[in-house]
Amino acid sequence: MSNTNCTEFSRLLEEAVESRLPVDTPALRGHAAECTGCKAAWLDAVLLDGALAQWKTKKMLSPVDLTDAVLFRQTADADDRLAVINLDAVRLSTVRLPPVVPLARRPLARRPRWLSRRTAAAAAMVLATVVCVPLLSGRLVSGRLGLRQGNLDMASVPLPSAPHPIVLTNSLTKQTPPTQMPQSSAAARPVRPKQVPAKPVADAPVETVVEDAQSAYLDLAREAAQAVAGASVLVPRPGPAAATAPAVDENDRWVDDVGREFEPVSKNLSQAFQFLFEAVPAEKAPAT
Amino acid sequence: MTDDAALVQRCLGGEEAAARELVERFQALVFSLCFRMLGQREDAEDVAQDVFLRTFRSLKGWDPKRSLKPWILAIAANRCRTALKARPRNTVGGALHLNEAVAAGSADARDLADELETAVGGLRDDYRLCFLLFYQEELSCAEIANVMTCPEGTVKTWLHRARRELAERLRRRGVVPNVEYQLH
Repeated sequence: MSNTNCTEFSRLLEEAVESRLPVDTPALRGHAAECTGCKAAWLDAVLLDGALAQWKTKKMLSPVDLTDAVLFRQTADADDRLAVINLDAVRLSTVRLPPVVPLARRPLARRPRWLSRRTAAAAAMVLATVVCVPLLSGRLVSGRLGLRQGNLDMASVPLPSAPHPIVLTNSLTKQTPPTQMPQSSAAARPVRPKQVPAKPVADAPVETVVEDAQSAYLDLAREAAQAVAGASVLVPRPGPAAATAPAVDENDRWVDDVGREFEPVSKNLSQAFQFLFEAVPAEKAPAT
Repeated sequence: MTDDAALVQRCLGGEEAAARELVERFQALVFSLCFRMLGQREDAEDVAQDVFLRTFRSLKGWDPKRSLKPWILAIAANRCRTALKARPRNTVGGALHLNEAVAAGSADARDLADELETAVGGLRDDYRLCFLLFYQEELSCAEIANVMTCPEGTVKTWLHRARRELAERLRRRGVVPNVEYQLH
């Protein structure tokens, strides 16, 4: 009568298998003789043990010698890598610049997927605003040309038709930023805050808020476009007199003459901005 | 420094004799595993060469604290699995090689070892690899789990199922243990 139960038998059998020990032990044999269910498992284990013992000792495969083949392939592999490195060095040393293609013949760069036409137009508007507003306020003109404020009256410069500076209004908080655009003394204009219809943020869905922000920026861009479209830029008259730097003693006379030397050139930018605005749908676009 | 570590250091130093020694030391293990996994001698030779080439390329990444044998066998196991995946589905590689191997023996050599060899070739790839690593390469379950990148419990399960399937195949082939009479 064996003292081993089925659970103990299973544990002992598993341990013997994992330890590669023989399964034909008295404890296992005794339980297998009494228990029909465990007997089948034990017989299978004994059968496999015998087969494995023969399988391990019998040479099923003829010996193989891979040494020369492996070393040959390793050498060839190293040579290939060296050749690739050398080839790269040759390519780098004989690198040629690509032929210059005229701008008109260059293929158009594909616009990234994330940059939609509407986004591009809005970005162009904002960029134009950022560039043109300081120009119109006179800071850029006076700074670049080094003109004295007193000698060149900025009031004589034709200013854009927009009679007010652009004031950003936060559509989400309905608050106007405390700082306004810097104004030159001559170009000071009454402030007309941009009225943007806004909805309470707490009640408005995200799509509505996004649409409000989008329409606000588009209105801002349109306003900037109107201002820029009516602007005139002063450029030096072409010719040797304008291109030659004045002598030091003639500086005052040159400054006096600078008003006459400058030629107002009106650039009608409305067509360009019209083109950009046509890219933006007139109605509210769905929020993305 | 262990023997493996010294050998690897010499290999990394570019010593050809060391490379030769490394191949000679492990080629039997690697080739037999590849042969029993792939079932065709030519494929096994190609894959075994690949294994050693990859071994030499990756020697810098070997951890000297670990044994070299399971590390190389892991490379071999991965290469075998890749080669098996690249095969068409209808190729019965396992059964093929076993017939070749058995046919190489004598006419009445259909003994227990041959029967087992045939049965091993019919196992599922995972079970076969697990069985070969355990009984042929004599790795522990933990080492096999590292080689096959699976939990140790999975290895034990696969090993148990492989043994059960093999015993069943042997029984179907009429092979019975000669100890049964002693139980009665």
